[in-house]
Amino acid sequence: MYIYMARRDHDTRNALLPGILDMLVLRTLTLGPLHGYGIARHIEQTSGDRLRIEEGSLYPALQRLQLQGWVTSTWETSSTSRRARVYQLTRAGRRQLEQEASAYDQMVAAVAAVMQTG
Amino acid sequence: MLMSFRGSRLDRELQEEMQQHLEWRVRDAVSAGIDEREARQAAARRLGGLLRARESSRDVWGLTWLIDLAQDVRYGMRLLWRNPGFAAAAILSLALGIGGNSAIFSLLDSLVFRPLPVAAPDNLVLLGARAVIGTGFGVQGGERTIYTHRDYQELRARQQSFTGVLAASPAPGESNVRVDAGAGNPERATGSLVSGNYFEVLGVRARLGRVLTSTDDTTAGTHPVVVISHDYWTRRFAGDTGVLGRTILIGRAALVIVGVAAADFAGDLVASRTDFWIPLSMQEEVMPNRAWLNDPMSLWLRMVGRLRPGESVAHAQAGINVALQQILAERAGSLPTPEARKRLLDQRITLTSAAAGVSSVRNRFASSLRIVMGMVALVLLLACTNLATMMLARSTARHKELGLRLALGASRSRVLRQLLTESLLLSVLGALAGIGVAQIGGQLLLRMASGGPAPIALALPLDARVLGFTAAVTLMSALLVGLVPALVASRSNPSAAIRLDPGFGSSGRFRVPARRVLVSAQVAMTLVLLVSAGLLVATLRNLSQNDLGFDRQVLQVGIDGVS
Repeated sequence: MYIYMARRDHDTRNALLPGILDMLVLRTLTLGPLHGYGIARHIEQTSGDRLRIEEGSLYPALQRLQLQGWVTSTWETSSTSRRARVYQLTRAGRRQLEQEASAYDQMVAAVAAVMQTG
Repeated sequence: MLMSFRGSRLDRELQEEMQQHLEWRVRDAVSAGIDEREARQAAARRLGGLLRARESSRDVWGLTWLIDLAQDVRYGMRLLWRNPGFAAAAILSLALGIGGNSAIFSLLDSLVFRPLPVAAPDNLVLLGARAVIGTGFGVQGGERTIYTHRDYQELRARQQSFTGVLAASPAPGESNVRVDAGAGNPERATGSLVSGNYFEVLGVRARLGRVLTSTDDTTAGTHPVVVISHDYWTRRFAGDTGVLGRTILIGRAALVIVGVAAADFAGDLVASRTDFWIPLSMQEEVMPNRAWLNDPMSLWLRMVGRLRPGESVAHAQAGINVALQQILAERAGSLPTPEARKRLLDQRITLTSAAAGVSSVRNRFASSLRIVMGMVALVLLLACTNLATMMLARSTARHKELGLRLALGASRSRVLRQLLTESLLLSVLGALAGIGVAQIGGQLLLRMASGGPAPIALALPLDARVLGFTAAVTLMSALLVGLVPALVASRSNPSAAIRLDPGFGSSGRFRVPARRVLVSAQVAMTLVLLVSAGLLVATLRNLSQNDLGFDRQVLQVGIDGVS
């Protein structure tokens, strides 16, 4: 399953809502600061390679999260003297994650209830 | 500019970040056993995602519209550069239209609307139904507009609605003055006699030295002081700070300059120049042979009062009329017959706002200026409609280009924005030229209207109000010129444009009626303008040939002892 931004003239078959990607990113960052590629790899691996993150969705999502103040970023020089932007969760971001996670659980339960009737 | 700088920096950082991201992907793919070349190819395929990502990120920053605007402006400038004839015609007609409106507005604003540069001008009221700048003799019945010195003192003593009442006179008016008391030749300057509290009631401070105070007005003839205006100070004395202490000889009084008024203050009289202010107590010295100060029959003063805070005009008007009736009742007692007494008591004072100063020029020109304002608005409308027709014709010629843009994926709103930006660009260029037209035109109009004894001294500053009006007119013109052609053009059919045959496209149905409407509107407006212009010319001709009741070829003028 690919996660990418659904544009009006693009394929919307296997898209997940951007809100869910934001939530997954926030959750990933609770494990510690990480750069963009690390976040994508973590989600992919932890989901058993069932979710695949496109750069086209990840970076806008990271920008959005930064604009909302839920995530901050800094440039760090790695051991190989390459620059990498590292993201970290803020306290507001942690609160936002709790809200989104609970909303998501409720939605899943509601959908399951409908699917299981009859 | 700052935003675009930040934008390009963010862009570069994002590029760096995503390049790094892809490098890591390739590295992981290689370590998982995938051939490096294949891995790089897969990464290159994801480049499409990179582009989308950069554009989406840019959208998130909210800078897209600014980048688009810059693009449209550059494109619009190129188009104008390539069509100099059209550009010149369009900018010229817009300059005349916008400039004309700006000039008339500036005149109207300076003459009628602009408040005096004093403290809280809204509290100032003129004691009189209209401004009569002149002098008289006798008893003024009915609506009072000018007053004697005794009227002023008695009314001021009895009134309760004002924090202060000033009196001012157009006298001595334009007179011969000698600076430094005879050290040079006589010059012409225009001055005014005012009560001691003039500057205090208006709330005007001195730029240099001091302003007049009530003590300058106590006893007749003992306060030979004068305050000069800032403009007179820069004009005649070249802004010399040593001007205090120099004297001006008027009539038989040598007045000492004690102060220069604040920079933007030119008196409470609008459109008449005042170079200096003299206390009322010096009236007989500066105007020998005219004993007005203590003459109960000489009407020479206008009165302006500052309302107490919270006082309403109606209440103050009632109060001042009560005071007036008390004063008149006392004077009536010495009259012989009851009819004479009744006639005397038939006087009233109507309060009118003096927030924009007092002016007799205003009465003369205000209504004609408003009519001219309507006419120049119509001229601008005509110019805009004319341009809209031209733009419509051009967009017909551009339908291939626009169709191509739509086919490449531009949204219709984007094309609309681009076309509107082009017309906005035209309007802004026209407005910039128009400001020059307005400055020249305004001065020209003033000079034409000023022919005669009292030159009209009206400053036409290019201040926030005039600029704001010009900007609003420019925006409106841009919309008028661009909206209809833009709407029509953005409906271009993309497929019709890509095909090589020069078909009109499906919007052909819309274009023809639009053009007809625009042209008929232009014809109608032109007719209206022509007819009104013709009527105006005919009226002017009649006025100048009017029989005024005396033979204008032979005019006798009596000069009575003006010093």
